Amino acid sequence: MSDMKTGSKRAGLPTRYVINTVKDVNKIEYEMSIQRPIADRINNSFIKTYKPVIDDAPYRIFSSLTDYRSWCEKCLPKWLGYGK
Amino acid sequence: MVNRPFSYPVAEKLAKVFSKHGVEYLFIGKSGAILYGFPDTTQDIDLFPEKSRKNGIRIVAALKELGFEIDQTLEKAIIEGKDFVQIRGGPFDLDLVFAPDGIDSYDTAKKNAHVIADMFPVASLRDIIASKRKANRQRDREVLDRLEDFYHYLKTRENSPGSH
Repeated sequence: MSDMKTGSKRAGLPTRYVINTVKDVNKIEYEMSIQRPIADRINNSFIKTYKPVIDDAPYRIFSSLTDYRSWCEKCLPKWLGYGK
Repeated sequence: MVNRPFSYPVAEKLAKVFSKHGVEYLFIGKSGAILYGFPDTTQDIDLFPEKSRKNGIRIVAALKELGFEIDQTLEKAIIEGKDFVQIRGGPFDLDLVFAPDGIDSYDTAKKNAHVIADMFPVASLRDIIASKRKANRQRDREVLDRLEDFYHYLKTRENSPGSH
């Protein structure tokens, strides 16, 4: 990664910061996100895309999380990531 | 499928209506972490409500006011506090998790929780992380390292001179 990048002038962030590692990038991303107003955090972060099976019923009820996990393993496409 | 994004006005309305009805609940999961400022995305809202008949009745009333269609089966499940209720037919996607993995009790979680923006009660990041670690699904494992990293960043930030 590059040695030095010019940073944001957003309040609380250094105007110049060192980017050497992914962790450095993460820290900048964390700080910028924390400083966003709560409305921006919500509006930027909640998205809606169709999830097969899950979105195909108005609701589902499970008596235990074990039952829910079993249903996920059995009924959901693996690529959704709900399996173990 | 109709898109139903969870926007700030909707979140604000949820908080106000739940408060009006006296619902005991906490945001958990990635939606809770996002309220702390975790930079990521999610699709649904995970709420951890206190499991009691009284609270269940309040949740049903609040959800109806928010525009959810609650039939008798769903109403009964919420009032009984079935461990996991996944609702996709309402104004936004909502999971009610009455018994989340890795969290001992609602009362303990409530003691550790924070209210974000004077409005959103959110389980502690430690509890959110513990819950994801215990669930240990592929989607949980993918986010855990970054969530831990974010938690440590927040702690360091809070403890640094001049922090607020």
